[in-house]
Amino acid sequence: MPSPIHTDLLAVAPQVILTLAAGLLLLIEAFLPGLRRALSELGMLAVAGAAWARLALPTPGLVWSGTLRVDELAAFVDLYILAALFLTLWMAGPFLRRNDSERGEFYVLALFAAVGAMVMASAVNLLTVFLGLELLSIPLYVLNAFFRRSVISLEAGLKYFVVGAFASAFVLYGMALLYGATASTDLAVIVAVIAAGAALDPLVAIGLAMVVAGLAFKLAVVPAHAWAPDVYQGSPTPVTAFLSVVPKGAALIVLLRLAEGMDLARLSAGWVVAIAGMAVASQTLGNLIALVQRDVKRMLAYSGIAHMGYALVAVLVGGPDGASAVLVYLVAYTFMNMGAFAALALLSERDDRPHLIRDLEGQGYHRQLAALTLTTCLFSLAGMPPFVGFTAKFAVFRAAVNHGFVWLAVVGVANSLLSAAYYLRVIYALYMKPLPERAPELQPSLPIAATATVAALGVLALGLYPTALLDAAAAVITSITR
Amino acid sequence: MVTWVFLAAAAVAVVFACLAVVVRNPILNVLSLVIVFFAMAAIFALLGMDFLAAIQVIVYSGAILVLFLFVVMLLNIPRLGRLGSGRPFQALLGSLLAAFLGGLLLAAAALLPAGLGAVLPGAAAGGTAVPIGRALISSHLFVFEFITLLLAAAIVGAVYLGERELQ
Repeated sequence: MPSPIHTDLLAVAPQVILTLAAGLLLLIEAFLPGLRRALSELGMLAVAGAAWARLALPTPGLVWSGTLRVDELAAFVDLYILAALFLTLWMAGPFLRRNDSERGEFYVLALFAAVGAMVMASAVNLLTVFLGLELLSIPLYVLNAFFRRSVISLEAGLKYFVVGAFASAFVLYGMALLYGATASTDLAVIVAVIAAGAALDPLVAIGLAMVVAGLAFKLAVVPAHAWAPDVYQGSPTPVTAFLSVVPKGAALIVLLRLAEGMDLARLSAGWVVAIAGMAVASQTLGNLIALVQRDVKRMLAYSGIAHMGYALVAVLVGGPDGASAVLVYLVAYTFMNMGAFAALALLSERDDRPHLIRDLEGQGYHRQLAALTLTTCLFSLAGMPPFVGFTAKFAVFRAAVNHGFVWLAVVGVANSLLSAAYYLRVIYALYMKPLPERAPELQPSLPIAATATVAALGVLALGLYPTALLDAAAAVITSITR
Repeated sequence: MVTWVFLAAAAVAVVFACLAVVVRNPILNVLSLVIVFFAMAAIFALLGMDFLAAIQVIVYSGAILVLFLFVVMLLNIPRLGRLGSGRPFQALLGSLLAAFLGGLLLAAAALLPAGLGAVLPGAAAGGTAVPIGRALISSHLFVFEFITLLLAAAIVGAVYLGERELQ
């Protein structure tokens, strides 16, 4: 029974608002280049409008003939994507200006990418999953290479493009096999067929494995992680911040929707071994290699690989605990990463050069606000209380212990201890080292400082009052499993 | 009658596919490919896939091949001097691979359940164009409209990256 068209349209109102805003910004860029300085603020206004629409409008469930499922989960993920987009646009304006690359296309593409991620978050059909993934990826290829005169930026764009095309091919081939085996593109039907005992059908197993492998590229988990350091390092910092949270969140939600229906942990031992292996390998390898990095952005790339390893544990554990832990982890990870990259943008002299830890030496007493926000976010990434990173890891490991995956929790805690070493190294450089003789010339920027501060305050506030976040995530999961 | 049309289309497809690979003039390669696509369209039509046949002619023979032609002419590729790499080992490997793929195709054809392909979903209802068109504007409306967004994003990105003058 198809829903009436106004229900359909209202359900995707936030996406429509962002799309219209993208078109408007493109026209302004083309015909009113004098207004270029205001594009960042206009984009932020559109994001605020979309967030308002998401909060004010009802979540009707299945819409558009069952290809999208706008439920509480989708609304939650939409809001976190919009928050990440808002912070990205906020720091992007001054960042692009100081690199002499202020162009409206940046905001247009960022808005398009967010629309793609939001569609992925509510997609319950293979076609919408794939198209959402593409609309998320294609603008990001260009955004990575946005500094066209910088070799490392172009390299980042090319690498992400090649790896992304590879991942899309995996996903698409897997989807074709799943369609062949189940005769449907509807996730609910596919999940039902698999749950009814088709899990051992080789066609289904290979198809599912290829879809998961393609999503693993987007998540940058081992063994599909190799692109992350170069892309993180080369991309413009606001893009790195966006890239490090939004595609990962969208891919995790698709995995969650698949895993929830099939009850992955009880499906077959092979899947548990595969996902647990990916999680443990990501945590261990990510943290070990991060220890020897000299570039902060590369270090954060390896840290991101490790963090997605923790999040995969929550996906594997499943059930209401595991699913809500994934959501908590995503929110925490978004604020920590946005804050860390914004602070890094404040503390870097040249954006097309490596961001060495050595260059941060002694900045703790000279750029106090930036250093403090960076420290907050790094402590949180290391999982220390009272920051939100602790809450997130606690939620994940609690879910793992409660569902009989004690060994995964032990590995995770051991890895968190290991990770503290490299986060603390940056903080050590900030506060315990003298300023080098030729101190880097940093350009202050109010919007970037504001972005970093808001993100750091979010990290602190959600860490001090974790119940708000935990309850919200639990309520979302209860409402969709009911 | 159907058999004869099929045999003619298949023969044309195979012959011109060979020409597309063997001929040394790039323009002739592309034009041979156009003929292959037309022959494929004829085979699709014989299978009752009228919509696929039309799309094959419009999109592949029309749009994509014209694009190929433009690329060939813009790049001004000279006639290729000689075929192959000159290494007999590669030629041997290539022919082995081709033989393997051909064998695979024959095996798949032999293993195909009898009667498969005889019952065509669209052919009975008077063509496939109507059901596909209906699906595009009913059950797949969102996807259909969403693709336009994807194209718009790709065009904006391509224009930005390909722009010649930096401001």
